[in-house]
Amino acid sequence: MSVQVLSGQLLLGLINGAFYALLSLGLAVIFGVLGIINFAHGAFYMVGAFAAWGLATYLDIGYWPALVLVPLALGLAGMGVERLMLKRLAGLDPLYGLLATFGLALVLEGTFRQVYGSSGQPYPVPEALQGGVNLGFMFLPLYRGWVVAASIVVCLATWLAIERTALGARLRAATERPDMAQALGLNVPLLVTVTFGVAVALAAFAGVMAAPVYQANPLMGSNLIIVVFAVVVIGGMGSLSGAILSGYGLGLAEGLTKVFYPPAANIVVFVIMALVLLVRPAGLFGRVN
Amino acid sequence: MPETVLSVTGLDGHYGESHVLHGVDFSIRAGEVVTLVGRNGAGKTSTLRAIMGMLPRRSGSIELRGRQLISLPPHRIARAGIGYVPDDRGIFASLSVAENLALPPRARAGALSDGEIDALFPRLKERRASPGTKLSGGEQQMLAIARALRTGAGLLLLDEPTEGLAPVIVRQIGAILRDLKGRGHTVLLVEQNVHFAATVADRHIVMENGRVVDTLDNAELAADPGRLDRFLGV
Amino acid sequence: MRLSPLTSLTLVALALLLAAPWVVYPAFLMKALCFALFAAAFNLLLGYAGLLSFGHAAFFGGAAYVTAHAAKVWGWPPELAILGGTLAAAALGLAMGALAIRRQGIYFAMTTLALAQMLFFLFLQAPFTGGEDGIQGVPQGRLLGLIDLGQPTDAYYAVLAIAALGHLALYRIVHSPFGQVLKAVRDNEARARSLGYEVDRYKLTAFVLSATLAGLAGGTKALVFQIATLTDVQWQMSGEVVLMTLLGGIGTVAGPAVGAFLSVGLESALATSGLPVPAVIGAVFIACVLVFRRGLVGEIGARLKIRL
Repeated sequence: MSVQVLSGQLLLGLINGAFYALLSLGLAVIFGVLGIINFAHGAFYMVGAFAAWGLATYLDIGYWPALVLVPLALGLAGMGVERLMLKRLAGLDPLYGLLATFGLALVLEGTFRQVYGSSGQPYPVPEALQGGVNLGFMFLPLYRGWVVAASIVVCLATWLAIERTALGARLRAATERPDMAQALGLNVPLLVTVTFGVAVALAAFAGVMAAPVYQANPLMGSNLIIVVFAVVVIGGMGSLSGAILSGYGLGLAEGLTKVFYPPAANIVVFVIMALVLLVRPAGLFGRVN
Repeated sequence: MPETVLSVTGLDGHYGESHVLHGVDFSIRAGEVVTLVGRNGAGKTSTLRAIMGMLPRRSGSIELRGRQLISLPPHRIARAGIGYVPDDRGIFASLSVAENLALPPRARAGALSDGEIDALFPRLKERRASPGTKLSGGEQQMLAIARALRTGAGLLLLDEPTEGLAPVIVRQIGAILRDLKGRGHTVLLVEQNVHFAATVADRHIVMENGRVVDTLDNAELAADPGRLDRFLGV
Repeated sequence: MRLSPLTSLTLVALALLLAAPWVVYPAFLMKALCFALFAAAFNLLLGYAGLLSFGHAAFFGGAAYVTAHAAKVWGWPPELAILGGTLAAAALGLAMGALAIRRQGIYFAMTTLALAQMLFFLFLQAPFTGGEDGIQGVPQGRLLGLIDLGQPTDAYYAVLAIAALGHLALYRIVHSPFGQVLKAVRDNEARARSLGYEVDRYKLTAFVLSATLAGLAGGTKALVFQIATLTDVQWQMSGEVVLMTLLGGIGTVAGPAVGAFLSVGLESALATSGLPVPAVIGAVFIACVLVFRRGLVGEIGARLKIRL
């Protein structure tokens, strides 16, 4: 096998991994403060891709502004979802949060399917990132390199903001013991709402970045979110770095599988999940829940 | 007579189905150190949690310097000027000592500066970078008190600050409480250790079955030590 | 003779169902009955063991494939084909359950969903399932050599008998000593463990029983409707059975069946409306979770203070 094929598939794997990492990071952050799994996270990613496509198609607003505007707008919408829907489920079995966000995912996906059908809407690669460079051992399309680099930077920045800043310390305190954090004067309800919004914004950011790679497709979210669930089961949600690393790692594993045994590529993450459950039920980075 | 800082009237509280506070009444004046004493389950911890707004259901009246707190959420109550130290100290394991200390927003003027806190708690300064829960029990207690003071809270609620600590640490905490009293802080503490309570507090409020059943000052306690034993049981 | 409310209601429901084919299309009734059994089987896990499986389509759709293949390719008679599908679902349940019960709560739900998705991809690629087309034109045959499943009314009574037997089995399981232990595990797992119960074995047994009966429903559906497709193994199907149970009432005996009739009815009403069906279902889902968590039967039971 040639180096080109191997490195090409590994790059594709890293791109998948970039989206897994952004989404599983968001899921882990939401799980930390709300104790629920946001099934609609994939739908927000899909809406992010469509929003970028819509801005370009109807308003002639290009990729770079969309990369800022779409996460902002969807982040605000996410805060609305938290206030209107999830807040009412506080104190109930967290399974209700999963079911409510599942319903929201169906609503979003069903609506977009009704309007746009099941086929994708093509979205162009931004001009500045068209073409590619020859690295000697492989040809690197610029846009793909950008997706991997941008997602690593965003994941790292999010991790640093949570683990190393004063605001992040508040978030960690609210994650660990919300009642105590609030008794010390922190506005925990507001913190939870904003955190949910930021996590949704991460999903929307991933969606905008995905549009030129996968097109905007109503089904892209649910296909992705189930794999991300497996990623989260593998990594455990106790550690944010674990969520990020599992995302990239499993993307790479998928890429490698495509090289060596293509038919298993779309189940390899689930197979790894089954193996992890057998060997280390708490997940690779997780504490026993 | 100093102004009344905290005035609790007809305070009722519930945990789910169980009714834990039945019309608690008491008040504290500025600069006083007051203990809540009583048997386990008498409602002392619940009273502190009710003041902080941490009980799922409560009713009645809680006034802080004339301001009604009963309908406020916990963070607004804390920002109104109450520092709270729960019985397990409430130190966050995922935060370093420095982060634990810096966590509460500085709500009011009169907060202790970093320098004053370092002077009052020299042990904490040495351990700033450690994770919060790597501290000894005594250090955790100091951290919790220091953190509450950093907000500028004029009123401190301490739940069993000496529980499980070595006598030498208990004496240090006693010294800190007297120091705070000297600075004009008002303190309400839950205390099982009546001997310790007598060395730091001006007055003792006795609770039983979710009610206040007696109040006595140190002179009365010294004159009739059996008066407390009736409620505490031996 | 005085009958309990549940018994009298069951008798009324049976009488209505026996008369129903004169009023309602048998095809609609058969579909609703298959889903009723599917939802009731799912409810054994969620309602009585407190385990939310988000992967039950694997058993329903997996059994449908096996039944359809056995009847069409191997020429098995209907009762054997359904039995084959049901046993396949049981085996699948054993494998999936053994993995999934290693995690709790929300992780359990995600794990079952991911494992079911893996099966979906396997079915998508496996040669015997016919890919996107599915297995079509499954011969119906004569059940036990007597009942011609090609006759809608006869087929309906056969499905009714299967669904009724399935419900009876579930009722017996829930009210057996085994069912009592399950409820104890649901209410307080740590306590049940400390009382010496092997919690994992109870959970796994419940999982396998639930998968088996879900398979019975799926196999029956494949045979009477002569088709097994990817729709039945998709994650949306796993979600739909959750909705049916929620709509009718989690942890009630009659709830899942009522929810299944409501849901199938809603879908056939919407089919011609031009509204996006999944979006409406999603909205119903949200509404149920926010304001109607007891479900229809649970709500009525709570108002009348009876156990339904």
